[in-house]
Amino acid sequence: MERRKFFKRGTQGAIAASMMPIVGSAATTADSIKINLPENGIQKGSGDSEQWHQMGNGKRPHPDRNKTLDYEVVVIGGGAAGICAAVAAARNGAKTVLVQDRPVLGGNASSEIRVHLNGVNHLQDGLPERETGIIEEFLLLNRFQNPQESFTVWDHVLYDFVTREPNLDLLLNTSAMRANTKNGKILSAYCYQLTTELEFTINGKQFIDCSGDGLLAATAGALYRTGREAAAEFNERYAPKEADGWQMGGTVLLSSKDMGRPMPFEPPSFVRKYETEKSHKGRKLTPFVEGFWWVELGSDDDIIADYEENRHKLMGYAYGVWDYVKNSGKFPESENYALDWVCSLPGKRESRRFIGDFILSEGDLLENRNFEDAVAFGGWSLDEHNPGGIENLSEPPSYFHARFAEVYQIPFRSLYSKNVSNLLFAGRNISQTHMALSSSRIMATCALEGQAVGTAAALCLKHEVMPKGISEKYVNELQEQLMRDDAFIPKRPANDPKDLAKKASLIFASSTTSGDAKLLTDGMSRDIDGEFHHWQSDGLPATVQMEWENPISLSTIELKCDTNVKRNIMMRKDSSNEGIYRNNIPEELMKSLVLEARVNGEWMNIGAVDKNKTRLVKFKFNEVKTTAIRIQLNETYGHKNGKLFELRAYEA
Amino acid sequence: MKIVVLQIAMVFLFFGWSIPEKAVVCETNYVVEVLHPGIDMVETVDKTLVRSTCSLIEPAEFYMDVESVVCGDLQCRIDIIRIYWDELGFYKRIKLPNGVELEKAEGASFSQVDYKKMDSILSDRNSSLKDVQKYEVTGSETSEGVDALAGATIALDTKSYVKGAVWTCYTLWHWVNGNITTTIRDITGESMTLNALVNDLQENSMTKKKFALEQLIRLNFHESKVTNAVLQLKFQENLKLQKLIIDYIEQLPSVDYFEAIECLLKGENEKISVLALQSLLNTSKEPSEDFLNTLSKQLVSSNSFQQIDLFIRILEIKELVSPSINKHMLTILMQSDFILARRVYWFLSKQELSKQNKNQLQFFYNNNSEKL
Ligand SMILES: Cc1cc2nc3c(=O)[nH]c(=O)nc-3n(C[C@H](O)[C@H](O)[C@H](O)COP(=O)(O)OP(=O)(O)OC[C@H]3O[C@@H](n4cnc5c(N)ncnc54)[C@H](O)[C@@H]3O)c2cc1C
Repeated sequence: MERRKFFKRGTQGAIAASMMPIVGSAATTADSIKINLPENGIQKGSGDSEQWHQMGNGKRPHPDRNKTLDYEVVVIGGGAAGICAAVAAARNGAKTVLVQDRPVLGGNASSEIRVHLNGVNHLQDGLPERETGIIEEFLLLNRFQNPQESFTVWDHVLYDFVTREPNLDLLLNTSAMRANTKNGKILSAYCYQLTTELEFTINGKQFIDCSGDGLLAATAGALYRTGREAAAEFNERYAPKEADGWQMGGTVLLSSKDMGRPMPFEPPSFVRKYETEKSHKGRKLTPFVEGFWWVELGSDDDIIADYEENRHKLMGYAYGVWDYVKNSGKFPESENYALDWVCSLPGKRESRRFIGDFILSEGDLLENRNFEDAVAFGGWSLDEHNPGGIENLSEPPSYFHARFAEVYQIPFRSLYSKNVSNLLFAGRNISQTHMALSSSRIMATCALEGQAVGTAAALCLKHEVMPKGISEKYVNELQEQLMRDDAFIPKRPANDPKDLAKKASLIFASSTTSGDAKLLTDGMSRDIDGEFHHWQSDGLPATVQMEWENPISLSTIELKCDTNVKRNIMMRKDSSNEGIYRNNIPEELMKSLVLEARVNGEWMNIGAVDKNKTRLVKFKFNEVKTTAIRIQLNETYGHKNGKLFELRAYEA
Repeated sequence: MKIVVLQIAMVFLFFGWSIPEKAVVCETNYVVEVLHPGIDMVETVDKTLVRSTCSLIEPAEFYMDVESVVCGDLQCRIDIIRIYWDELGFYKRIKLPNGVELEKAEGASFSQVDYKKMDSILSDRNSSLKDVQKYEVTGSETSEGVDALAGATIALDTKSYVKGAVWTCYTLWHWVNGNITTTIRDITGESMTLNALVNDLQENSMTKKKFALEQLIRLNFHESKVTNAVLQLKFQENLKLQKLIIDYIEQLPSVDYFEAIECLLKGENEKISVLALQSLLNTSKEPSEDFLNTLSKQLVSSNSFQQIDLFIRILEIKELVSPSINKHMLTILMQSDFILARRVYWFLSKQELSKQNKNQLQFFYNNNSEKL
């Protein structure tokens, strides 16, 4: 609907509209598309369809397609971090654009690369501490829209998730090439759209670089580091003695399929022989079905410049390993297997790391440092891939230096630039050491950073400050907003002064098997550190009721239900539904709920959800003056009891 | 569960165990059907459970011989292990054949520390082993995709298993804590007299109370001395016991049921009172007007929002209002707990009231109209 409206508004008629390849809803400033006329000005372009047809006669001049767009928040890079940043900024009221240089969203997790979107998959106790918030929302959406677990459908689940968001536009196939800056501030991003020859100048107030490599940030003059810090610089136990330029590499992944009959394999000409006899035993060749993450090539120099050369080599190595599996005779079980998919765009692990007001390092993670400005968390082990990658066969492919007993915090100060005032970042390019990156690069962790910076950018607009200003004055507000939006910040209970549920005189449930209805307002939205923060009913249906002594005006009720954060729900190539992995809708998730408010002594139905798909359930309704609300939990996706973690109430 | 008692006072010969070989006449054999999720989720297997009263000082105990691991591919080493339970089906110990040690990954034997940990795992009825499925335990290390951490696909916290022996822990835990525990309790229950069960209700031990009540329900004992003893438990705070009390009274004939409800509500125990009122809300038994009258009088003094709210719902849903109930409810309007008074106000405003009562209601309204 919204999109059609947008097309109608295009001032250049049908052609101009079709040349405006923005997916989304917000209108943009309407620079028309200019045609560069030759000096003698043989033809005047009218810009209509007639002109287009004349281009074939060779008399048309070179088209110079420029477009200027105005947004409040400009997010570069549509990986997990960028999606979350853009959605968070838009939902918090900023007119936002997401610029992604490839045809699909998802970054390393897209169908082009197929890295598993891992997070805190398991702590030392063997169990996950899964991320919630925006990242969980689209992982759950995938379970509803893509039960077949197709990677290309997953791309479109993400596309749906982004394009359905009001206030957010998406530019695909568009590279941010450079920043236009003034006085240490980015004024606009110059971008090029591969499919349309369009050059965009995107003006913005806050810029968020979630592109991994960070070309925009680098051209803005933002300070950055690459390579490995010397151990002494940050007192890092696992860092090398001397600093060097080594950066973890990219990988070509592959998948194979059982064809039910013997399948021969002929390697291509660019194959590179895999030398098993020289390889460390950590380079496991089984299971071979879903490829080998250790087919990796990094660089100790300019890893970005080396990319194409490395890609060619990596493809050769990937086919080389497969050739070994198929033709060495050591894996008879591979006889019926054939390659089904081979990556053409190696996923990247490391390049620039921009410098913020704080540089996160190994000790912050291992010692679980408590940050006043914590906005995200991580917990993947310190997983540092070997220097040299597949060209250094004798070393293990990765050093899992340490595993975490509990999640660590990531401070806001490492998510914005120290010297470019309106630049934030999230993802693998944040302000951190190589050692910290070895854990925090994991995508769901990047996604939490994304939600934090998107929310922060919107707050910058609200308070007319720069990210540093948020750090100095509005961190509490940032944290409260993040937690309201279902992000979890370790050791930081929510305490939103606007939340009227905290002021209720009475809260009780119809039945309880574990926890307590009173815990729904304790500010912690998951069971953690050995403490309960939930209420669980004894069977369903069940109700929770809240009473206020004085009437209050309400227009929003928000609750957080259970999705079992002790299981991982990301899509995997092997479709695992074992152990800590689940490939379906969490059975604990509430499916149907009804919300009532008591008005003049009568219970009024003011909201109902029949097929809930999210952990954070929001009821928005016309303002009611009431003294009590009642939530009836009717059905889950399979679990016999209903379980909630939080209940909030807001005035309009 | 089907239990076949094989023989009483059977002569039994042991072999290969450290127990001295001798004939005993103090054991009873039961062939029982055991459900083990490691073997099958629905099909049971037959096992022999033995009740032993051989000790002159100790109470009876039970034991059963089981396989140490349930082995699908016949490639693992299976030992026969004897598990001992107490009379109430709680784990006591395991015993291995002479010279046999439990094995961990790659053939290493259990250390003393491992045995100790195993003992505490088996004693923990709420171990996370309870809820995991067989496939979750066996989850292969190899299915991890990219950037994998080795061996971390088991959906269990590390407290729940001995490293390298997760499958043995899983197998034994389900033998120990599976449906066999109910069988043992039922056998014990049936061997006890009514008086002994009632005595157990009065024991200090919560475990004994729950056991006795569960058996009294199962065996349908409704004598008044039993009911009285059950109702004495109304002060207890244990939720499971409270639910058993409600299960018990729901089996009673109508008159006794309503008397029991009244008695429970007198206990000033909020949790059991709420359970009793929920039972009343859901029962198909018809309460008398007298009963409701007494109840309303009693509840007025409880000052509990949840109880009075439930009582009002019972009255509304079952359409059971009466002038005297309304009169009792009116007294709540005068109480200091405003939230409660407001709940009652809205209820009464829909009732037909005498003029005087209407005035009282109006008075409340005039004083609180802003807060309703
Ligand atoms: C093979 C491999 C295995 C890995 N294993 C795991 C794993 O198991 N689990 C896990 O979670 N992580 C894993 N990682 C790490 C993880 O994938 C990265 O650290 C993570 O993707 C970083 O997230 P991001 O959002 O910062 O960047 P990305 O996911 O790379 O997203 C950045 C996006 O920005 C776009 N972009 C780049 N430059 C521009 C530009 N100039 N203009 C516009 N768009 C631009 C890119 O196309 C990309 O879509 C692995 C990485 C690799 C390569």
